[in-house]
Amino acid sequence: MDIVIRAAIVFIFIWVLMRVIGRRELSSMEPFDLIMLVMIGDLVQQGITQNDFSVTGMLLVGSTVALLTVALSYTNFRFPRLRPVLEGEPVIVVQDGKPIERNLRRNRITLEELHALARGQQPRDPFTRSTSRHRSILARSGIPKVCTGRRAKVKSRILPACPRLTTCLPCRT
Amino acid sequence: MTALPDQLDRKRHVELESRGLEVWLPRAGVVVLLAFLALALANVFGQKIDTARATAAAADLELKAPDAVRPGLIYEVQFTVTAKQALEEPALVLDNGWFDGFTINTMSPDHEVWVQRNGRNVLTYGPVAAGDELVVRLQYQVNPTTFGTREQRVALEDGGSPILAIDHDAVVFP
Repeated sequence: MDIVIRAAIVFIFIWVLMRVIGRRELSSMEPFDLIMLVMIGDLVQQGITQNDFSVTGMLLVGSTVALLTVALSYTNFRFPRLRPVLEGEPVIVVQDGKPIERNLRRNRITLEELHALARGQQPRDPFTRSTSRHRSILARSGIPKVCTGRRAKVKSRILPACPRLTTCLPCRT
Repeated sequence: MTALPDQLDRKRHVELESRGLEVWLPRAGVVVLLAFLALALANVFGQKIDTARATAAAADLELKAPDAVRPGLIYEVQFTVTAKQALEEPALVLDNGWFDGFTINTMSPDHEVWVQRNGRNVLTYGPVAAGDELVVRLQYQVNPTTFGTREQRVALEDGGSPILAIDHDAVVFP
């Protein structure tokens, strides 16, 4: 019984931790972040399984995590009002080619980082085109997405950069 | 009507004909997982400590040990002998199942004599006065390669004369 409870507690702890750390840190996988993630994984594993070397223990932990993931996903789907709490909400950090400094600061993103990320998603840096209607949205996943208005010719090329429909919806001005 | 990409069929990929199983199989899987975890929360897979007691004219014996364990787990087994009359040479006679596939980290108090009798382990302790208790604790760890059921009968003797016994089995899940 205890291993199921430990796995559930750790699942909730990791979920809260990821929400507290913030989307900015999750999306930037610097070497330090990668090491931190591996370290957290190792610490978590010891807390859950302790000395348990059994296949049964592994099945119990796997089942607990799987069921809690399904439960979280279903809650998110079934109760839209809980979505901002469970997944967070997108934040617009660039509007009509102009960065919104307050939103960038709140998410601890520098302009240089935003430019670099935008260049990775666009053939040309969208902030250099003053006439464009580009928006950059810090998606729930933590990765800024560059989207355009309906009239942009490059729309079909840009949309695949926003794999999640919910992320792209606010772009449709 | 918008044309679908190659290799996609409207009936199968839009109207989802003949794909009802794809909905029900994951649901059945969730039910199986729920049942599995319900069993685990009911301590079917270990390692809740259960208590068994036996009473005789000369002494009582209480055994605290889990019925189910998993490889690697550390746990404690406790034997409590309550003497109703003076016991000169109280001895716990433990089946081979108490030792087969388990590592005993510590044992307290130390026995005075440990001998084997027909594959059983006889741990003899010092005298216990009437009304006193002898509490023996064994700190166990299950070896990683151990699985299956172990018969773990424990008997209490005094100077070689049997007083009482408790039948106990432990299931080691793989």
